[in-house]
Amino acid sequence: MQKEIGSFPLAPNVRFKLTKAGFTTLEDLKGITQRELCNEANLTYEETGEVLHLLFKDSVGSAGSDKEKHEDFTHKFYSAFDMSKNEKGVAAIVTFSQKVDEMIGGGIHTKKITEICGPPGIGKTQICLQLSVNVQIPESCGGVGGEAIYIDTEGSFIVERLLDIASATVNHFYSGVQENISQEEKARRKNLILEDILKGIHYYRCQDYVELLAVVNILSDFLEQHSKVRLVIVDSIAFHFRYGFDDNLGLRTKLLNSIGQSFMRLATKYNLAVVLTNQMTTKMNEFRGGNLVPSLGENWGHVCSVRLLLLWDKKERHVLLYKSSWRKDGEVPFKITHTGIQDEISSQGSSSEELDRSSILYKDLDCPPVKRPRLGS
Amino acid sequence: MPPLYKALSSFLEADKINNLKKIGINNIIEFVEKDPEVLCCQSKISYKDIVKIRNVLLAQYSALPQNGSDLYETCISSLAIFSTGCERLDSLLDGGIFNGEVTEFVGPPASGKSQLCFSLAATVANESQRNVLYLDTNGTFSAERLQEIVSSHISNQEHIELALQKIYCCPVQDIFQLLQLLENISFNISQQTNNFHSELQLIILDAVTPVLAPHIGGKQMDGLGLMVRLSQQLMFLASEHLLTVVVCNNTVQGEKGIIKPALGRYWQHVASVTLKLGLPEERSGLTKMEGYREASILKSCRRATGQSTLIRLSSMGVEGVHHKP
Repeated sequence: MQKEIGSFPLAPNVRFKLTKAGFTTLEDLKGITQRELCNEANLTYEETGEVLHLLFKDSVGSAGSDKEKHEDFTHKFYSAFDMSKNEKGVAAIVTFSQKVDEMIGGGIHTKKITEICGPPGIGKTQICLQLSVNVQIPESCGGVGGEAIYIDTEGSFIVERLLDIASATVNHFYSGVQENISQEEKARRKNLILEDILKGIHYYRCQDYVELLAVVNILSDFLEQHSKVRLVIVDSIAFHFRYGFDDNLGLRTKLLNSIGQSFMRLATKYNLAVVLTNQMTTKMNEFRGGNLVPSLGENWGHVCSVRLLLLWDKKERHVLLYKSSWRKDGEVPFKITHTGIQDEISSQGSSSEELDRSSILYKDLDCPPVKRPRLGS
Repeated sequence: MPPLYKALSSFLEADKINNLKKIGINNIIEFVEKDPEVLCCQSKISYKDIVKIRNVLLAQYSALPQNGSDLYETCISSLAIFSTGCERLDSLLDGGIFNGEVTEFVGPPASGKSQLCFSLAATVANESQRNVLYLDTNGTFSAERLQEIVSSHISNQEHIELALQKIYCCPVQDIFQLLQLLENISFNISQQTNNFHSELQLIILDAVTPVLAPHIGGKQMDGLGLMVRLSQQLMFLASEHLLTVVVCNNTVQGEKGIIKPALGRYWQHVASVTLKLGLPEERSGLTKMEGYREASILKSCRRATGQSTLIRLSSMGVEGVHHKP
């Protein structure tokens, strides 16, 4: 079968001219010079140069040989055997709630898009703040030692709250360190770490969906310069897409799909975890009235690899794993304290005081004096 | 269709092509479609020559007739049916997933499309010892889960590793990359040089919607063209190289809130068999949390449509549910 011109990312008007001149397959263009193509297809010299370059990935001016045309893709195929070995070595970004982490397979995974949906006040932003701190836990402590990009569309990012969570996290890891240093020295070091954590969070504020699209598109440049970034958070993806599209839902679907695809591309290329939060909406059901479902419609539900639903069960916050290709569905409680995310029932002495990863990570956080009233409830 | 100068021969010399170009005949299609007499008058080429050229071109580009019994012979000798890993589902599909055609799994999020693909990949790699290529557009591929499924069917560690080495994954991010990759595969299969390709049996595209959806809608019309192109390639790989092609499709919400397969009418023609997956009905008392899903046939040339069966996702992959608990 011949390669058709239509399967290349050419501008519509260029493709139209080529087709009109009778060039529909790659075979037709083989061996043609740039000058000849100009005359035949009624294109400018620059345009033909671009066309030939795109089609043959060859020096401008002459068409490539058979070999270059069929570049070998097999090196891009990874066998499940190799991947399963690699997947085991990958540390995930923990949430600090052991039960949640166990349910979703160790934490938020890189190279996947994770969506967190929930009604207002359930703690979506809190989880995002916690994750943007936790992604920076050094590898020696069982973390991934990365940085975070925080794209804020709602304006709900509160830096004081981030400071609470970050300092609790630093205290938590520092409490285990037995060093003969003075209290002052300890405090100084903690502050240094705290500053590093805040520096490791790159914050964008997007006022409308155009800004959001633009940020997503320039993110790859930023990621080139900041290779330590392991987490991209959008809080929330729904905010700018829930109004203003009433007469053009097709456009909304198209934009959301292309955002999803861009994130997938970035996640694969730069080994990122992408976390998107989503709001809930009421879907009317013929049989039993309203039903609370994630917003942005049916189509959006397919974009994320992992979907977590946050919901209230009486006075408890629950996380429900709704969609995942490798973990079973499940539901566990969690709570939000001034120090961040924790298990609802304190973990029942997880296998003595061994220095394994889980005991470092999930040991009860020692709580500094409460600075602000507890959130929620 | 190729431009006319490709057909340069003893009948069709350069000066005749120039004459034809002057009257707006650039490619072979335009030449063949035009009435020879009109062409003769307009282009000042003799009628005899034009008929001759026409016959040569038609002979060169026409398809050849095939005998029905030959077709049957090839069909019998090359037919292969692969198990989905779940007996009840196989019998619903008249034996399993057939080679030589495109099979589609469609369903809402978390309905088990990828799980069914994993299960199918595991059985093909394990039972037929052939290669599987998983084209992942959504980041759903999980080697961990595949390993779990494979090792629930075989106990020998060596065999597990062998099976896992037969399943390959390739992340795909856009439609152009996908088209090129598929073209490349069909080229390599016909060349028979590469070990991987000659052993290739199953191609899974999970899912098709993310790569096509950004091109559909809005004012540009190229989305449909790309969709047609992709469907042609998938069908070509299936029918020409006798591969088994499985495509996952998403769902969208249509008018009046009805959930329907994405990509519209045209795409419904692509697959020969469409299996719809869905969450169990609420009144049946079975929950999604326990892994229950419902599978029903939306389109098939072998089975009556509308039949359905209950399945359950478990550590084994996909299981049939024999009696309602």
